[in-house]
Amino acid sequence: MSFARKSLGAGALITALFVALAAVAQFWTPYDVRILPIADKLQAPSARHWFGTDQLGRDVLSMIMLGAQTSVGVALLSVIIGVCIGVPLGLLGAARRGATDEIVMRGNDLIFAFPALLLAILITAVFGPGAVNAIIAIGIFNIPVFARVTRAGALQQWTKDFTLAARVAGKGSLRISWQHILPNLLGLLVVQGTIQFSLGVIAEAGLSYVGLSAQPPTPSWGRMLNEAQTLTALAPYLALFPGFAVLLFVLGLNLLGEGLRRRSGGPA
Amino acid sequence: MTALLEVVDLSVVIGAVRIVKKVSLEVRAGEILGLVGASGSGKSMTALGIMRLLPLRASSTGITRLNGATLSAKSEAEMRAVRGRDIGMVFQEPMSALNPLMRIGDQVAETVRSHRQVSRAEAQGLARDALELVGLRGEQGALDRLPYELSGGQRQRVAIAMAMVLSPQLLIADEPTTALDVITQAQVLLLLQGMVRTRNMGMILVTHDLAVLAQLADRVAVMHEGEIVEQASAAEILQRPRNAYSAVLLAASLLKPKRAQQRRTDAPAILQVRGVVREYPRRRTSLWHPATPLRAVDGVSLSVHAGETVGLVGESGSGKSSLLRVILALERAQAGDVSLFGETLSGARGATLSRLRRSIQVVFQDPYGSFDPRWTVERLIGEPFFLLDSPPSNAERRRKVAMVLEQVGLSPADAQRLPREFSGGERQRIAIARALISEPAVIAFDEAVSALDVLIRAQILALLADLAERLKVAYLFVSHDLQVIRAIADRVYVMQQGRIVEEGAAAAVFDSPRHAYTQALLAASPVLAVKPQAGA
Repeated sequence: MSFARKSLGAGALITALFVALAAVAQFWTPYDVRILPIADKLQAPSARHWFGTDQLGRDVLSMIMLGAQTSVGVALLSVIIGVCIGVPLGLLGAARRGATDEIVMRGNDLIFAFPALLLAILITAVFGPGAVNAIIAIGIFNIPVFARVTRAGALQQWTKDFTLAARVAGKGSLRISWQHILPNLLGLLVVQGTIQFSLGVIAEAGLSYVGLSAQPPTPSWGRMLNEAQTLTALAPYLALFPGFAVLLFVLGLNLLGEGLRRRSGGPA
Repeated sequence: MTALLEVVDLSVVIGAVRIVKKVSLEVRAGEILGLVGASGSGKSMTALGIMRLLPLRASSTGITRLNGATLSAKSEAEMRAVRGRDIGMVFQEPMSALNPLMRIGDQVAETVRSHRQVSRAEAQGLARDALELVGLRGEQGALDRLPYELSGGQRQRVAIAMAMVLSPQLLIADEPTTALDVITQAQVLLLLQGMVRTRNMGMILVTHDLAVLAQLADRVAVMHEGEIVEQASAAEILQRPRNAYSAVLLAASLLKPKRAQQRRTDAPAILQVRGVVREYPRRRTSLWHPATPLRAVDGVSLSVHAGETVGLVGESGSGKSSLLRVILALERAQAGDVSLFGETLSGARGATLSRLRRSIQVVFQDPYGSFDPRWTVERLIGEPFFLLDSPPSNAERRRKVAMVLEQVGLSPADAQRLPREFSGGERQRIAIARALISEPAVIAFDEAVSALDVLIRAQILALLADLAERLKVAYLFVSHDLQVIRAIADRVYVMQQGRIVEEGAAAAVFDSPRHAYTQALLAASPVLAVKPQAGA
């Protein structure tokens, strides 16, 4: 089996696992994390609590499952923001060229010029911490990424004769972008979407680690790591499991993206 | 006299498919063997099989001997020494055969140094000699140029210099002139022929073009579905092909005019082009002076009358495609205008433009790029319905698509398939169907048969002649191939550097060209002047 197919299979499996965890957590978790059985605090992993319990006696496995929800939700919505604004901008730039293209792309450069995470911190600091603001902050940085990828792919599609044929059939450049160009870029966008999703997971973990994403009591991996920090000597597993969750999920998404890219024969 | 190259029972298998089936041939010193066949006949694979340069998944059996040495028994390392030193190779696409970042003198010298223990200066000297041999002189700075600075013909000369620099005994040229225009093609062919004769080398010339072989080859081997179906002297195959397939190939290459008589051109002009100028901005080179624009089309006037076929001939870069884009209202002209049925097309907008566009449609050159790979044939062919004020109902749409599919010789059942399921020739039929669906008065063809091999080309031309007859549609046929234009056109315009230099009835222009450029074009284009005898 080729590397591409292995990577695709493993990536899809890991990604599906986390998405399934997040979905299951909606209806069922091993323990209810809203109840704080302080008596059971800081138990090491055991048959009853696979991943142990934290300083408030909550089951870590349940927390990780709910944290996956936050992680998937924030990353997914921020990718959607990036796609919904970035892709049309990229298509527009490629279709109109000239001044429109120049304005769109220089606007993108402007956003790119800011260090992403720092600006996200700024946004959440100004508008207040919370999952919604984290989504918006991460989403804004997805816009130029999708705009650039779309524009580059669209420019290549525009060189093909079928766009000329469509113009001879009387179609305008925006209609051609929608009917001919965009469908031919789907593969490219799925790959980029997967990569941005994994960056979104990291960004969410980072923001919640500094307390700027989802607020308590909503569990999130970043805050679990933060809270575990003071207890590393006492209960190292508290930091280990959410850390591994971030690592594994991001790895899975990257493998999936890489596998998809190789399968579609795209550039490195 | 023993053969220089001897190939016995060469077979090439890719996956489970036998691409080349027990091919045996030989080449003597000083001889040019033409290997001819349609695309997919296995001729390129035969050439690569001899060089042992087959694609990774391919395997070959059989024996090849060069000057008595058995190539098929050599190790890969030994083969590497043979390639370039004993066998030179020239490929079709001269751009991809050269390293874009390396000066051409260095590229040729590199070939020398990878085979011989010589100093850098000696290698440069040999490279200079080889480039001079192909007509690129060192004192003009040719050695220091990069591939992108050269024209297609010059690049192919560099590729030939690389193949020749070590004086190989055998040269394998795979469609060496297919990507070149006629005048350059004639020069390159003459160059190859001269080298084979003066150096007493052997050469295998792989091509789909019998006219090229008629000029150059001593013997011809005809390939069909991986087998050599006939092998004889060039004169014999061109006069009396014994094999049925060779006869078909020859007939297709001859391109006899498909129409009984040339149509009269006293019908009213439907398309009129007057004094069109198309300029493209160039990059500014001076801070103080504005850049002079590149004038691709320079005051061209032409007309197309109802039902006639007009040919527009010119080399690549002569401005044909730019002119066509202006005519199709895809680009704006800087001066002049285009009118259709007396209405100005060049400045038209909105509903008027849509209405006029129904009457002029187009077929492009590339049968692969001209379809959105994700659309079904039905959707693709139906795309010009967008020009109608009210789109037809689904049933009506399906009926019309089925009708044009039948007109171009495809089945209505093909409507639900995707373009990638069709061959190049079938795709060109789909493109014609798409052009026909709006019932236009004029169809423009931009090199529409140039990417097809001879058999398919003959079929498509026959189809076009038939459609012109039945539907009374006029064609504006743009091509660099004089043979094709001669076969299909009633009237001809010859274009050079953005201007029309000659026009007239096709027969008159081809039989007694007046302009020097037309004469040069005609002299350079390889012509099959033979007539196959009846019953052959």
